[in-house]
Parts: sequence; C-alpha cells; structure tokens
Amino acid sequence: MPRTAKDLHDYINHPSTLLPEQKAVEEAVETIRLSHEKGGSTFSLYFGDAAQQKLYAVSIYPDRAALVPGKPIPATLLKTFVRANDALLQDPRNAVGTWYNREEDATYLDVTTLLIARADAAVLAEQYNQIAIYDLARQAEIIAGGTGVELKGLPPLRERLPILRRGKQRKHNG
Amino acid sequence: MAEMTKTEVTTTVTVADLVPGDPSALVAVKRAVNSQGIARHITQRISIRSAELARRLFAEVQRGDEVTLTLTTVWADDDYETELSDFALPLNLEDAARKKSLASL
Repeated sequence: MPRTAKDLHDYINHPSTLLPEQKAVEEAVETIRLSHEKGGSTFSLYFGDAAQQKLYAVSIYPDRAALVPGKPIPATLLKTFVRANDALLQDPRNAVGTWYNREEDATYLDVTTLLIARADAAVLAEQYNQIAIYDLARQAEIIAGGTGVELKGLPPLRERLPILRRGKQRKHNG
Repeated sequence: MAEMTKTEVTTTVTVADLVPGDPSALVAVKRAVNSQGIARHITQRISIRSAELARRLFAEVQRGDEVTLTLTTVWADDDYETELSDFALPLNLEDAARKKSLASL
C-alpha cells in the first residue's frame, strides 16, 4: 500500500509515495498569516509550512508577484492570491511565498518554486535570469548572477518548470 | 457583482527591464529587508496599461535606474491585477531624464 509523502524531499526521492491532500484555502491562509509574522513565509498547499527545511526557493513567476501595504496580510487578499494561482500551486514544487519589506512597510506575495538540490535551483535561476535563490534552511540568499532582464519568449506560466522527475537524485559536483 | 478591493503601494525599486508591448511592462527588483533583518531580492513584473505613462517611463528611465513606483492592485474573488499608476525619479535622475527627453526632440 503506497504511503503518503511527508515532505517534498520524501515525495521526490520515493516515487512510490503519494501526495497528501491539499490544504483547504482557509486553513492555508491562516497558517500563512501566522508564519508571516516572523517576516516571511513559504507555504506548500500539500506539505504546509516549509520554513527552515532543506529546500531552495527560486522565483520564476515575477508576473504573479503582488505587493500589499503593511505587515499583516488581509485574509481576503491572501485567499484571492491562493485561488488565482491555484493552477501553479497544483505542482508540488510550487508554494506561496510572502516577504515583508520593513523599510516601506509592505509585503510581497509570490509563487515560489522549491527545489531539493541547490544545483537544480541554480540551474533554474540561471535559466530564468534570476538574481538570487533563497536557502530556506540557512535563511539566506545565494546570488545566482542573473540580472532580472526578461527572457525573450518567456514560456507560459504552466510551462516554466521542467518535468518533475522522481527517484533518488544524482549527486551534483560543486 | 463580485466585490473588488483596491490596494495601493509606493515602493522604490531598481529597474531590471523595460518591456515594450501591449501592454508594456516594467520588471522591478527590490532588495527587501524583513523584520528579522534578512535581505532578499524580489522581482516583480508590472503591467503599464496607460500608454502615456509607458511613453513617459520609457523616455525617462533605463535599466539599472532607481525609481519610485506607485502600484495599484485590484483584487476580485479569484484573481488580482497589478498595474503601474505612477512613478517618480530621484531628484538627481530627474535632471538626467529631462536632458534625455530634450535630446530626443
């Protein structure tokens, strides 16, 4: 009997595992709002709060980012954000990201992609010319070297991620 | 009719890219420091629906410039849309932009 994966690492490394049921929007929104009080949050509809897990976040959907005033995120706006990005969030690698900007008292919302291998995150960031990736475990940014200049022929939203390959990951050099 | 909410935020960003089109767009990068003091670069692609605003922005701003944006987001039940509603240059860039606009006449 296949078991349910406990986190993204488990799901990717063990192809026989099943995805958990997605959290309901209301439950997701409340958890995100609470986690965000620390200054930022990363939330998977399948696996919940990804804070401090050994994952690397890359933003490849700058066209889905939004900026709202203040630090507490109104539940109604967050519900809209989750619903509006439902198609992207069906992929277990995608999560809702929030980040508070204290200088301007405003909060970014975005759809962030989580990779279990730093090298894969670096490849994706380079592919989409991103400035940095974010190490969730170390809570630190890693400069990827991109400039943010938009790619010519940017793929449609649902075609930006590579096909999800499951099974034990190859070790990467460097 | 579905209820809609509008939010407006002013933010100073670095212009990563200016994308002509219909509508045009601006790719903005912000190095945002959160309440724990952790910095993170956030990239946002913003539509510019006003042709006049796009014309002015493209004339006065180039990649790498710092610019203050006013962003308006309309939130419906199951979708949202952000657009640029205004922008302003830092004072030293205003002079350079004015000269650039005059040179292009």
